[in-house]
Amino acid sequence: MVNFFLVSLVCCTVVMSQESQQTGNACQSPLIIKAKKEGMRSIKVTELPQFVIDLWSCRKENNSKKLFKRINEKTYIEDYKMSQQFVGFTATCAYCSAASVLIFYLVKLSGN
Amino acid sequence: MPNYRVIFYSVMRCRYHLLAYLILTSFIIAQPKISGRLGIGYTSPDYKKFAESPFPKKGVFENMMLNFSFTYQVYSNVRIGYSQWSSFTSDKYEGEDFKRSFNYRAIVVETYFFPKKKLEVNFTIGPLINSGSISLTTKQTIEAWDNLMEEFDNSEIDLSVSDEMTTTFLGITSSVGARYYIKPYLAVETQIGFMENYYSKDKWKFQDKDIKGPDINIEDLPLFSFGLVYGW
Repeated sequence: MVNFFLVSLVCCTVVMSQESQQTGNACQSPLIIKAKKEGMRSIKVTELPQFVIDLWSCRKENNSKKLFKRINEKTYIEDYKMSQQFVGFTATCAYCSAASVLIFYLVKLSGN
Repeated sequence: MPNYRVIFYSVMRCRYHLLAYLILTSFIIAQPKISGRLGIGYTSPDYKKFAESPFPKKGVFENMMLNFSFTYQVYSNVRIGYSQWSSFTSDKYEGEDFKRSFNYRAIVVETYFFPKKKLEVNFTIGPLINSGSISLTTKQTIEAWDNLMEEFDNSEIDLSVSDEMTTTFLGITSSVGARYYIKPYLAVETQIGFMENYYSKDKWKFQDKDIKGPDINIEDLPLFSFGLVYGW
């Protein structure tokens, strides 16, 4: 337990001590710019703590709400584009699942 | 003369290490989308024996199950993960603490697509490895302990004794659902599906002995669920 806390403390210290690039405007950090261009999903899990810190610093800047909305919107569009339709074997899995659910309820409703 | 066998095995070992390294790092580099779900579901098991006296009466939440799941996106339309449904009852049986729980655990493959922006339709299928347990905690006196206590001028004491009977059974689950994204990282989801379980009342165990369990009908369970999904 003590080791866990020590490791967590060291990890948090490392993450918090990363110097964010002082560009004058916190909303202009590389990660926020990347999210604005490519959507939130382009941020790697390893970059997530820094991204959250950047967003937190950005929230008091002018037009931050507009920026967040734009990032969200971009993410929705990217998700939609990426998974608009089934690709390859995924359709087969979906058909299997849908068919099994349909058959189950038909059998249930028919009373067998 | 070089020992080719040793060289061959050491090369193969290096290959395995390299392969394992590539697999592990590809997961780290592949910008994964990890999501967790918390939900509740409604199903209709027929507990037969449990519905009769002296078992605790069926509560309002008897047909409700709690769900949590974790999934990892491995492809643009596919997530794989772990999902668990839990049905739990805790009450009194002849004045003693009685607990009954059934856990339905699934390794799920979830395929999905977006018919509209923010709206996802998903299809889940997977095998189930389920477990059931019934435990009873009773208070009783044991003569040997009473004698020992009396040696130290104590009066007799009640000992709390707890044990449980367990079972494991397999099944399959499948569901169709819709997920609406309120935020890119937060969504609400509803699903309709079923669980097909291969439960047998003859496959219970109590203190490593095979025993008969309750006669209940959880073979084919319809399932309706609602949940909150948080993920990246």
